[in-house]
Amino acid sequence: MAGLHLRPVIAGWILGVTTCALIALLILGYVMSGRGFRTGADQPHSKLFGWAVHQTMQNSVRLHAPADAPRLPLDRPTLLAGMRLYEQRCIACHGGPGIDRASWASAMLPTPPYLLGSRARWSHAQLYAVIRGGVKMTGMPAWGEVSSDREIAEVVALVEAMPRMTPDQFALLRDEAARGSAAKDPDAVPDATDRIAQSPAHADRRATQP
Amino acid sequence: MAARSGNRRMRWRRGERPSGGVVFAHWRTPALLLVLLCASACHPVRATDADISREQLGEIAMTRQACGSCHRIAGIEGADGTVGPPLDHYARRQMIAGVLPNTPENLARYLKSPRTIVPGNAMPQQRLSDREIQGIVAYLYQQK
Repeated sequence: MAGLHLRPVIAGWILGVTTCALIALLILGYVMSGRGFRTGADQPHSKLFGWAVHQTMQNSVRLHAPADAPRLPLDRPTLLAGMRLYEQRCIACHGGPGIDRASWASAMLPTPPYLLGSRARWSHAQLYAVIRGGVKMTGMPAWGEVSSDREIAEVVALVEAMPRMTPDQFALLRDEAARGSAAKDPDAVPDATDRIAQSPAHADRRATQP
Repeated sequence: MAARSGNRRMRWRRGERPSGGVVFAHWRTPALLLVLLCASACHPVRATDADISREQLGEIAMTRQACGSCHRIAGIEGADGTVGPPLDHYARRQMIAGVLPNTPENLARYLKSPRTIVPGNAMPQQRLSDREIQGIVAYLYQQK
């Protein structure tokens, strides 16, 4: 008796699933043929698509941030080391406080953000995860593939110290790192980083949380 | 649930079929969603399009120049920065960067060279073209 009435249900199921699969295949084919999606970066994402991929990225970073990301003190040697790496690898795309990105960075899609606000946007662990792991389909490299964990932590330290400096202090630190003589001559630029290290505000609030 | 499906079965047996068949009885909602999805995924304007408006150009320029990493800007995806001031209701703001009266001409001047207007400014001197600047001014003055 039950089997008699089950048969149309199963038939309906098969019909429904087949229809859905067929429609999905058609959409996939349409997209993959190049008609449904234009990869040229001169055309912005639609608002919906841009929002969806951005949310996906943010949620993925939050989900995969390591609990044990190393944290370095925001002292002078760390910031100088971080600045040297930032100068080589980051500043062209991300600029700095008062420092423009390379002229071609605005031609990237998505365009790389300025990082003054990233300390407010991301936790320490999340910043560490983004820099070490990179971000697919954005142009952000997985720096962990070519750097030590310490180097990643140095760059994270610099990015987190950025909103604690004036743009002028940042420029001084940059000069000092470029000269490369900081370790031997600690008095060359007296206060660019010392003030940060002494400021009680530099202690990351998240550091006190378990 | 069982009672309801039983009723439906009874109706079916009596020959009362939903018009268009069971599968296609509720096609309008998914179809509408599909159309909406396609419409929103298709072909946003490009900066090189001939018929682009100044406001649209401004929107593209502000997205490309990553203004949203420091400013909150209405209508621009991901523009939720908390470094500089939020740019909503820009047409009603009275001062630019606290030093210039807010007029379209002054805004254009400021965008051309923020670090000349405010020395030591964290806002970088970006290489904006005059066309981009006019677009950004138009976009911001749309924000009443």
